Amino acid sequence: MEDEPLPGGVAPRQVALIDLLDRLLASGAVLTGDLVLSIADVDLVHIDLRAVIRSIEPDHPAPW
Amino acid sequence: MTTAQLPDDHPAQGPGGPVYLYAVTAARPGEVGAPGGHLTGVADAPVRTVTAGDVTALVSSVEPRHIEMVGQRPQEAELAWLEHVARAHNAVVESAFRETTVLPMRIATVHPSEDSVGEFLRKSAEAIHAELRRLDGLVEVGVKAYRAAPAAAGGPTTSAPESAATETPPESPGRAYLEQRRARRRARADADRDIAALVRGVRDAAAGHAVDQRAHRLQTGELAEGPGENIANDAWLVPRGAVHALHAAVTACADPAAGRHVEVTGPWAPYSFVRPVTSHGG
Repeated sequence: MEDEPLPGGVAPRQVALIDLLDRLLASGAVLTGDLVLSIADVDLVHIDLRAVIRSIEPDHPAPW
Repeated sequence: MTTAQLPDDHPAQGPGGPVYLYAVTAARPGEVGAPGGHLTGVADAPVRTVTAGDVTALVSSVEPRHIEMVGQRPQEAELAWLEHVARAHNAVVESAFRETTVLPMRIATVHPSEDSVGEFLRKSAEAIHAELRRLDGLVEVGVKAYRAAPAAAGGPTTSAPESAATETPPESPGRAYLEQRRARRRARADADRDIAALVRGVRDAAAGHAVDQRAHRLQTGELAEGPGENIANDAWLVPRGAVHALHAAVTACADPAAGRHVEVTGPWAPYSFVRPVTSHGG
């Protein structure tokens, strides 16, 4: 399939991190799985990085 | 049967350890990933394919220390790492998405081994194929609407400066206060109506060219960069051939001079529309 950039110079710009995170953190999953923070002895690991970031600085909202 | 396509020049990246899973496709291993073996993913690890039956996954080796990131670094470093992972993830997904229909995995999906990926592919093959068929020929387009203060502050109701009372001392402070409150309330009601109208207009325009829609959370915070307040942050599932028509339709709703802005992103792999694929039989 051919690449189909949007007109008006919208697509060629570097993707904004926030738009990426909207998709990668809030969706984009094809696996069911909960937050797991270690890979040891776990069949399948899925890490919710937003939760990870939040847990580091509970007093500060996540920056996105 | 699981086969791993390992680039010859990276013998150290063995199949034994944990692997990061980017996307799943029904393409043949040679059709996706790194035709030249030069595509790299998280932590610059070379991307390779794992195939089971007629389903292929894009993976790369990942070290446990790259995953166990909890509280190990200051927040800024974590954010930088998150950005690296997110961009690497998207780059790999994009590389396959340009060639074929893909199911993008959620970020930081890690399997303990290639064998585990192969097992997942085998168990989920039916669900993966169903999902790939559903998404065939469709792409995701992001449409964001913003409301900003109009370029030229016009009538008296567009702004009610707090300093008005001091500039022109009113005869009755109580009446002036009530007048100000009423003016502010009117301005707020106008703004709310304007926001609702723009959101409705943009969604109506997009819906005519799309087959599905997801509303993402509105963008706020330090990473949010936009021409104003984000009032809609939608993902639309669009036939490839309709992308330009959708773009034209939604941008026609914008009126920057009146503080109405519309931004379009993508086309993306259908991140926001992939349904969970659960493995069966174990």
